[in-house]
Formats: sequence, structure tokens, C-alpha cells
Amino acid sequence: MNNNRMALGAAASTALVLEWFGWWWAMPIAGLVAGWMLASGNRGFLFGGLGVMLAWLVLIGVPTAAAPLGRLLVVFSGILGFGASLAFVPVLIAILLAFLLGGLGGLTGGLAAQARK
Amino acid sequence: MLARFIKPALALLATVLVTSLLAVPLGPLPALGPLLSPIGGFWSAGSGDSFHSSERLSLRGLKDKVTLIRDVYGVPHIFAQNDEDASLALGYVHARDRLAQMDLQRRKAAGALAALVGSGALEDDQFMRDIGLRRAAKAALDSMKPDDPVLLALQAYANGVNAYIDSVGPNHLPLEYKLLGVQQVERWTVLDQMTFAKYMAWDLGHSFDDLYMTTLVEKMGADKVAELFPFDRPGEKSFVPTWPPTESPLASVPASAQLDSAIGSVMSRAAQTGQLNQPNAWRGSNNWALGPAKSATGMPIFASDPHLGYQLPSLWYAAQVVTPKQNVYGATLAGVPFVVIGHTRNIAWGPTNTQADVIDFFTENLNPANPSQYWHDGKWNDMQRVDEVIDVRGSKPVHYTVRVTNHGPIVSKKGFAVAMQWTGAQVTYEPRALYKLNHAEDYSAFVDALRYFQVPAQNFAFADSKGNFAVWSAGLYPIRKSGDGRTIADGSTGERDWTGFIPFEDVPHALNPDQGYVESANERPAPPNYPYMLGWQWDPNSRARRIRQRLDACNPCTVADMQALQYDSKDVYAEDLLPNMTAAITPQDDLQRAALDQLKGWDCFTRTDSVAATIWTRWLINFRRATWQDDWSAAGFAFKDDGSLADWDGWGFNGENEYQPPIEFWMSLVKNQPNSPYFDDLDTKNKVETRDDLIRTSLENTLAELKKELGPDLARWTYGSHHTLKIPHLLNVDVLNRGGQPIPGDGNSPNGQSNFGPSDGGPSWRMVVDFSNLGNSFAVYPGGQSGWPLNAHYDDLISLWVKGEYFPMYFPPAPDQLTSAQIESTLTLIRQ
Repeated sequence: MNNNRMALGAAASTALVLEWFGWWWAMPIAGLVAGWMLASGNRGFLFGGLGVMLAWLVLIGVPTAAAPLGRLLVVFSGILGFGASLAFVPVLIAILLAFLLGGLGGLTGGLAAQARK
Repeated sequence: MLARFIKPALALLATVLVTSLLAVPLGPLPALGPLLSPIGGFWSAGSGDSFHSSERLSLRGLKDKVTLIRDVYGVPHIFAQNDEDASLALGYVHARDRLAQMDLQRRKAAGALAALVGSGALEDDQFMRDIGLRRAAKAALDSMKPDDPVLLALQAYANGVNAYIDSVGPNHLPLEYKLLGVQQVERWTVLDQMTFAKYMAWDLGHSFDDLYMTTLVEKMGADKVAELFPFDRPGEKSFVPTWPPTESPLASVPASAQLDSAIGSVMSRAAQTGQLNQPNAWRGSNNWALGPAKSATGMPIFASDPHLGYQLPSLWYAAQVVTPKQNVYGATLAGVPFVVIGHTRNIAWGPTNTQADVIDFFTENLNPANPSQYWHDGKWNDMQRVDEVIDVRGSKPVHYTVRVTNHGPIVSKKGFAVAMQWTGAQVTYEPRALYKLNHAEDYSAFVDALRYFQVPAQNFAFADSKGNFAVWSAGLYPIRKSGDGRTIADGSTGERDWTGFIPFEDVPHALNPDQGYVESANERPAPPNYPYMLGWQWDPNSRARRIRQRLDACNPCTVADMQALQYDSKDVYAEDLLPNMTAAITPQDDLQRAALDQLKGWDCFTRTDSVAATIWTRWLINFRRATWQDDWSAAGFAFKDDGSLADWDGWGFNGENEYQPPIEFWMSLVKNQPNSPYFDDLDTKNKVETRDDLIRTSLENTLAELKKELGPDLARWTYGSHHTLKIPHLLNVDVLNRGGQPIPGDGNSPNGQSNFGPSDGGPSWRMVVDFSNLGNSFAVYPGGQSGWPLNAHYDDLISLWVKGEYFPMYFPPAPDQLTSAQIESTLTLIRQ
């Protein structure tokens, strides 16, 4: 359990640092850190994905809290082709995407660590 | 052993694949990875780069402190110690509010859009490179001296824009860049400003109508076209008094497949790049100035409302600039450091498009042995070849060669080589004109400034604090060796070459005329006896007539009267024609009876609650088409199902006449020649129709169409039910567009709008200046000061504009003259 939390924390903090520079494409690296620590593909996928997702939730929350959140989401939703009633969808897509990037990185890291043993 | 690494390798491959997919655009969607990224993605668009209530910034290039106060309407009031610092500050605030718009505009002007948006814009860029706006701008720039104050102002402005670009970083660029997936903005240059100024000249002054006239003459014959498109239209009145006449006969054009192919090539290039004048694509404008005798205050009142396509961010950006040498307030263009329409302490000015014929087309006779040569002046001449490199995002740069003759660039790609000669290709100095206008405080300074305003030709109305009022049609107008320039000419003979331009002192103008006011609404500037050929593409004179009607009637006139006139929705053509039209109808059913009741009781104002306005605007379109469509079909023109011409949308600067003869000509037939052969429907072989026959059938068709489109209940056919505002964003993203409000006005009223359905063009700026109290002056436009969609000033002025209301043009001489209730934020700029 401790290992899981540590891996989650490592993935989240790595993701925060990398994303601070705008390097969204580097999120798999954050996930990979978690996977490597856990030496398990499945848990690497899960905690790598959760870690990156957490980091993105924090980073999205800060600017949107400062902005008129409702209007921001409605505009974004409209640009992506959804209506105002589905304004939550862009946030959902973002965090799912974050989970996917982190999860794939975690899977890779976990399987690589297992193969090394 | 290696087998152990297969699974992690596959996982890695999947990771790379998914990440790569998220990095590229998918169809219409931008790349999702960067767009959804918390840093640099859409989330940071927020409310945009809002101004804090009190802010202090140091900017490189400033000589002294600048105080920039934004009022509650988002208008910056810039107080600087010198002109250059003021320009720098204006550049900074333009960029902070409108950077994406400025970038798109300069790229469009320079033919460099493909570098931003990809190969979809390549045709557009090639066309703009052919026209050569940047080449013309560069020639003007190269001729300016280093210590020229205009050049120094332009350079300072560029420094201000770049100061913002440097400060913002890729993660906080405007929303448009996130949608385009762009992370870097190129630095702003003086050449960008000069090129954009040329683009405005092109946008307002270009016309392909000569090609249409050529096709008409080819198919119908010169005599018939001369009759249908007379220089002197019935009931037309110029806004400047008389001069001696001149008119040349239209030259005949023999049918030619090569010619048709060349015309088709130019037209399709123009259509693809959005350069054709669509029907209802508004470029008309109004302005007027009342002299003291007609003004309720005893001092002049000035009004200006240019009519252009609506867009967000708006074309205009209000600003006040105060330095020891100037105090000017008005509409600026984001991208240029000067007020274009506005007032100083003592003068006011505003333009309407002259719509002169300043473009001619020539077929060039190429040397069969060497197609890079053309015949002119009795010999083969080498074409100038300009090699252009067009960057294309995501692809290799494209090398493109522009061929130029003595007339201008070749703009056709098939058939004959057709060269285009345009006054804007000359070296001209419109920024100097604007600089001088911003510093002008009397009539002579105003006139001196206009010497430099050459493209686009504009009718500048003027008023000053001494009680003067005037109008000048400033511009460069070609003098041709022969002919009137209305059709394509054979370039090899030189017979239709330009020999010079109308001297500035001879351009149409008037100062303090006896009628007590001046006005212009894109009607003909000078009467038939003017000694030079100015053009023939004047707008229908309905707006001018209505404006004169009201200015003659109000005695005295107030500021409120002038505001009401800018919002006036009366259609004088309805007043002229409906008596004839309704008299010809004996109602055949309840619907016709109800329709007639509406029309007979109507005061001809196209208000949003008017049912008659709906019927009238559609009936007018149908009656005109019924008159002309058969004649055009018989001449060989094809039509679309909706009744518009297949290969041509509309001639003239707003396409109001569609493909048809000028409406004034048609109206004179309706009123005076009910049996004119033009009313005969050529498709009905055994019958000869009269005016009244067409009136009846066109009304039947109109009511059937309206019933289908708006439902069977005539009471619900209110004008506002379909005539609504439409303001597209520059990227035409639905959620960023605005509109939907019912609005009054049609194509013939001073409040010029589309005739039916959503209106996406009209009064883009309304301004009324009161010389008895400049602080009592007003302006409004359908948009907002900020280009950031979530900013409160993105669209806050639209609701005022829709209702015909205005915001006050606060005009303080110093920062402490604004009250706290008027101030939204203060930005202090200091030297870095």
C-alpha cells in the first residue's frame, strides 16, 4: 500500500513538474516512474494514470477557478462540438487523456522493470 | 532472453503511437494534446489578458512615462509626453487586446496565411502575392526618410506590439493560436503595418466589375449594355455641384473563348480567395456634417458610420491619444497606430467609399516564341518576374513566380494573359495622411492631410470648431488615354493606357455649401458634367436621398436627430414603388388581401415588428429578377435554382444590384414605362407581358415563398423573425460567433443591412460629434474592445448597437479629468 502511494505521489509530482513547462507529451514519463517503482504492468498502468490525472486536475483547477468557469467550459465545449449542457465533457476528456498518457507510461515502466528482474 | 522485453517494447510502441496521435490535428479538430494540456492549452485562455485595476509595466523603447487609462467601455485613453511613446503604448494595448486578429490580418495582406494554417490557404496566398500588396508597401517604406515622424511613429508602434509578444510566452497566447496549434508569433514590423494599410485599400477599392461588363458586352452587345447601365442614372444627384460633362461610348467586345477562359480564371481565383463582392456584403457607408445654421447648438454636428462586414474581433478599436502635439479620439485599426475616423480638439472627419473605378484589366499579347515577353509600345517587352517563396505549415515552401507587365501583375491562369492595373500598386502614403489628420486642428491642415490619402479613394466629410463643413473625394483616380475603363482593354495597343491621375485640386469637393450641410452615402460624387472619368459603380441612391430628406427637414437638428438618422430604417424605394405595385394587384385570395392591407398601411420603415417590411424586401428582389432573368438567360447566362447568376454574384461594391442594371434605371421603367419590352418574359413565346403582369406573378411567388419559409400565419412574418444580426468570429467558430438579435434596416435605408435573412454587414462604427461640447460626442460598434472571448469587453457593445444606443466618447485632456466612475483600470508604462 505504501508503495502504491509512493508511486502515485512520484507520478503526480513528476507530471506537475513536466507539465509546468507545457510538456504534455512527457506525461508517459511521469507514469513510467510509477510503473518502474512498482515493477508491475497492471499497477503501473493504474497508478501512473491516476498520478498524471491528479496533476492535471490540480493544474486545470487553478486557472479555471480564476476565470468565469462556466463560460470557459461552455466555450470549450462548443469548440469541440458539444452543446452547453455537455460543458463538463472537455474536463472529462482532459482527465481521461491524462490517465491514458500516464497509464501507458506506467504500463511500459512496470513491464520494463519486470523484464529486468 | 529478448523475449522478456517484447511486452515492454509493445507497451512503449503503444505509448508513442497514442502520444503522436494526440499531437496532430484530427479532421476539423485541432491537436487534442496541446489543446487539452493544462499549461498552454485552452484552460489558460480564461478571461484573457485582462487589465488589472492598477498595473505598472516597464517597456523597452519608451522615452518617458505613459499613463493608459481604460474607461468602463474598455477604451484606452493614452497620455504620453511625446508622439512616439503614444504610438508604442497604442501598439502594446492593440496587441494585448487583439494580437490574433492583427496576425491573421497581416498574413492575409502579405499572402502568408499558409505558413499559419497550412496548404488550405495556398491559393489565397498566391493570389495576394500576384496583387503584390507587400511589394507596393515596401516600395513606399523604402522611400521614407529615417527621421520621418510618420516612420518613427510606425516603428514605435511595432516596438509596442513586440513588447507584448515578448512578454506573453507560448503558454499564454490568445485562444485562436491554441485552436490553430501555434506556439509562436512572429515579430511585428513596420512593413506589416504598411502592408495592412494597403490591404484595407484593396478591400475597399477592388472590383472585378470590368470583367463582368466585358462579358455582358460580349454577350449582349455594346449598345444594349450602354442602355441598361447608363452613366447617368435617373433621379441621381451628386453630392458636389456641377462641372462640364464627358462620356465615352462602350467599345464592343467580340466573342472569344480565350477571353472567356481568362475571365473565368480570374473570377474563380477571386471567388476562391473570398475577394468577390457578394450581394449584401456591405461596403457602403454614410457621413454628413451639419453647418452651424442647421444645428440646434449653433456649432457643427458631425456624423460618420462606415458600413462593412461584421466580424469578431471587430475591425475597429476605439482609442484616445493625448500628447503635447495631439489630442485625438476615434476608431483605430488594430495594426496601425492612427485614428482613422474621429475627432481632434477642433476637427472631425470620417470617410465613405468613393467606389471609383481605379482598376483596369488588360489582355496582354504574348510572344509565341517567348511567353515571357508581351507586345506594347510597338515592341516586345520583357515581363518582370518576381520570385516569391510561400511558407506552408506542415509542408515544404512553395516557389511561386509573379509575372508583371507595364500594366500590372498577370492575374489569370488560363486563356489570355490578363494584367490588372490598380492605383494601390503605386507608391502611396496613407499612414502619413492619417498621421496628419490626427494632428490637424483646422480645414487647411485637413486638406493638406488628404493629399496623401490616395488609396482607397474615400469621400471625407469634415467639420470644425470654426463652423466649417466640407466634403472631399480624396484619392488617386486614373486618367486614361481613351475609353472609360469599363471593359477589358487590349494592352498591346496602349490606347487605353493610363496617362496620369486627376490633380488633387480637381477631385470633387465642396466647402460650406448653401444647403447648410454636406453628406455622402456612396452615391456619385460629381455630376455628369465633371471633366474626368471617376467611375460608374455608385451605390443605389436611396440612402443619400433619405439622409438629405431628413437633413433638409430638421431645422434645427440635434445630436439626438443625428443618432436617429444613423439608425433610420426607412426605405424610400418602397415609398416610390409601392403605389404602382399595389395598384396593379386585385387580390385573388385571403393571403393576398392581407398582404396588400399590410403594404398599403405601411410607413415604409423596415422595423423589426413590421410584416410589410418582410413582404416588400422579398417582393422587390423577385420583381427585379422577374424583369431581368429572362433577358440574361437569352444572352446565354446560366442561373442557380435560387435565382442568382451561376457565375457571378453581384456587381458594384455591395452587390445590391445583383447582376442586374442599376435599380434607378429599373425604377424609371416601373414608374414611367409599364409596357417596356424589358417586362416581357422572353420565356413565354405566345404572350407579351407588361409591368403589371410581372407585378402580379412576382407577388404570387413572393407570398408562396414566404408561406413556405415562415409559415401560413402572415401575422408572424415580422421582419425581426428572420432579419437578425450575424457576427462571425474570424475563425468562424460557432460558440465564438455572436448575433441572433432582430435588427431593423434593409439595403436601401440609412441603417444599411441585408435585405432579407441574417445581416452580416452594415454600420460597423457609428459616431456623432458635437462641436458645442466634444465631451457630448458618442460612438458605438457591434463588438467589443477585447479579442479574448471570455473577456467582458469581447461583445459588450453589441447590445447598445442593436438598440441604436451609444457609449460616450470621454475626451479628457489629462488623466485626472476622468472620474473614478468612468475608470476601469490604470496602466502606467515606464522606461525599461
